[in-house]
Amino acid sequence: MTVLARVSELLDSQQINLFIGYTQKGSICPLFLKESDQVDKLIFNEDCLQNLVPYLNKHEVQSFGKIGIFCTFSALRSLLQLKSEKRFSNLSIIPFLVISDDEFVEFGSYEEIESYIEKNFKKGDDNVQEMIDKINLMSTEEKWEFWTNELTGCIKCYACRSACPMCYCDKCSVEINNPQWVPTASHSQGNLEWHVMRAMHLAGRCVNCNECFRACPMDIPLNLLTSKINADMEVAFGQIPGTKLKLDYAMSCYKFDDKDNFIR
Amino acid sequence: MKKIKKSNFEKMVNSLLQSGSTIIAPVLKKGKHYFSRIESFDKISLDYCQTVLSPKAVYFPSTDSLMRYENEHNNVKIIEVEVPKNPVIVLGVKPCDAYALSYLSEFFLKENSDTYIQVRKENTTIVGFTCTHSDDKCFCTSLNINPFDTKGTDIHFTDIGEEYYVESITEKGNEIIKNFNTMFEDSQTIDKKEYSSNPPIKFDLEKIRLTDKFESSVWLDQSLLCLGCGACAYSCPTCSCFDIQDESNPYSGERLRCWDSCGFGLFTLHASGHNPRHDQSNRWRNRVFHKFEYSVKNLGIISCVGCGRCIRVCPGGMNISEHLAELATI
Amino acid sequence: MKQFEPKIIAFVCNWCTYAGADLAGTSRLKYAPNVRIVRFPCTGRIDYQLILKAFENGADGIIVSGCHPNDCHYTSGNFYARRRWIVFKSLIDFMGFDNRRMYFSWISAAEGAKFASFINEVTDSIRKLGPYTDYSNLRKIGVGSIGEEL
Repeated sequence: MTVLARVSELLDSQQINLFIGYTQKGSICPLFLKESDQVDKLIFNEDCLQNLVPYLNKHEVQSFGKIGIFCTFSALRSLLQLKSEKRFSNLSIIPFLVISDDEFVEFGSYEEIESYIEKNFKKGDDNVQEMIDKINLMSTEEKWEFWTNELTGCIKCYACRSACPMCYCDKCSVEINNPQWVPTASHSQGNLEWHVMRAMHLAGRCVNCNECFRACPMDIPLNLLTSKINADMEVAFGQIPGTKLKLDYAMSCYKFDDKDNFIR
Repeated sequence: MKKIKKSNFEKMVNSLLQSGSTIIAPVLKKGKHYFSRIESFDKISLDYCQTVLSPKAVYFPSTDSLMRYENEHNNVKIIEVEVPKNPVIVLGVKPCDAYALSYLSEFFLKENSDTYIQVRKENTTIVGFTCTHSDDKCFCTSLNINPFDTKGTDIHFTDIGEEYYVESITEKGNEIIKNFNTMFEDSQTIDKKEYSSNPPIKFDLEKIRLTDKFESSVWLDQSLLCLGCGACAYSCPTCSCFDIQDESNPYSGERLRCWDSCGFGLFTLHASGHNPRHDQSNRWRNRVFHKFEYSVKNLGIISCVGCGRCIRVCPGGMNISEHLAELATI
Repeated sequence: MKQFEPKIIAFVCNWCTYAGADLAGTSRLKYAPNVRIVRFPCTGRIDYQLILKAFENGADGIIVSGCHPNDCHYTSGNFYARRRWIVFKSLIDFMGFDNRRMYFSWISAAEGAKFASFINEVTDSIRKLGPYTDYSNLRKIGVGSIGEEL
């Protein structure tokens, strides 16, 4: 059975009310299917990079109740991480990982996702790691110049936040406006503060799907910030986000022997 | 009508730079074009389809200081912010953007004139260029804007090979021709269409009737793709919503006007916690209604110019021209 | 010329370091007057953004200090704080903040002498570094104002 036949079967038998996949319209964009008649518009190839899981955080989408979704590997990780954070308790989600038209994995439970991720775990993007290594070698002044240059371009459109599967707060810290805690103005200092805050809130939760970078209209490599601290946290605490169904959040636990050589 | 050799155009720009004008032009950066201040002619890259952000920030910066204050022992001193009055020349503005700038000045200056924008407009010369590159996201022609229109420009250039064909539109344009009159030669009227791009018409504007579609389910269907960020509004050349922010400490403070977007949930959130635009579909509907209904009612102009920027930057793949085409069929 | 006197903000926990500072006072130990102490219930409450806010408003150096491991009044607040600082330090090092201006320490209620000498030491080294304006000056750079990137 092909993946398209399976999706239309699920839609027809009303095991799902909505299917979120990809389609090609000039460029590749998400497709929301409610009926099986348009199922042939679905595509899946190596250019389908967008993580569709952030859509599951929208309450309009959640109101469909039973949802099927195409997932890339990092999207699967984000789904698992969200579940571990007790999201989607009222949703039944059927994720698909597509390899080719005939070859796909349909997940029946989160335990299956967990074991699939464990078996097939692959490290993040090599390009990202290369870039991080490059910045690590810079002097403090060069790093400062690199990041202030990059972040001066930020226009505070919050596309990074909207496209991020882990940014689901009903009220984001930047929306705390009585008084305004993080500046909404897009001067460099406000930008820096916002991105430090965002990276810290994603520490130990980011699944390296690189959506923030893909979404950013100004092409700021925000994924480097979260990827860098996640890599450091993996070394320091041995925890990898999006790999466990049971909550395994590095910032909500501690060890007696955590490194404290910088504390006097 | 005039024309100018490209070599003379370069000399003209350099001499304007030397005379202390600020020149803002499209510049290539990391493979994409941005409007940016230039120091020398060779930075200009006119060979572009569309910049990521529009030149609206020339009038309406993303963060604009409105006033400052200082407080010393309860002596509050208000400091007015002076908008720089040096001449600004914006080079390489496409007809869509020039049209949008004329909308923005209409919006900000028509009834209660906004001083900050008034001063900027007075000191800014818009040098329009006939559009030569378009892509599948452009749809200006569908909105009755031609890629060689001169509305909103002060002086308009068309690339005709070795030379630019030049039309002066306003007094500011005449001034430029007067100041560099040795460089400009007389020219016959040409058909600019031959030298411009020609984006295909994507929908019939006449058939879009929004008034009775306020309660339609089409808004929900279309907005499912929307992730609720502000990338479309911030890259849009006509979006003019702003938010006033006071940034202060006990000793000093500043009042800032920052860009805002109707796509954000916070945009209409009341102090009571009630949000009249509770869903993303309501916000999307407002965006389309504002551009195609409210601004027509208020100012008599459609406030979408078909530049396609929102389509290019959208992380969720929202495509306003397809959505408008859909609206034209129902 | 008058010597540069740095402004140092110390975020300290109520139960250990603040009491340590008290002890330094009652023991009549003299220490540099450059430090402004902000008292928190626990180091676990000290948000990394407070550090940024302090730099924004003109601090030249920051001290974060609390109870020694296993001494926390709330059992584990300082262990969570320690993790947060490890992550925060890795982030701001990566972003090029001047990390020589941030000091972390454990000072107990009995360590008045350590508090005094620590403050003196930090003040001396920050005085040598000079004023810190990299971060607070950023505010003046805006996107989209004429002359900047659009």
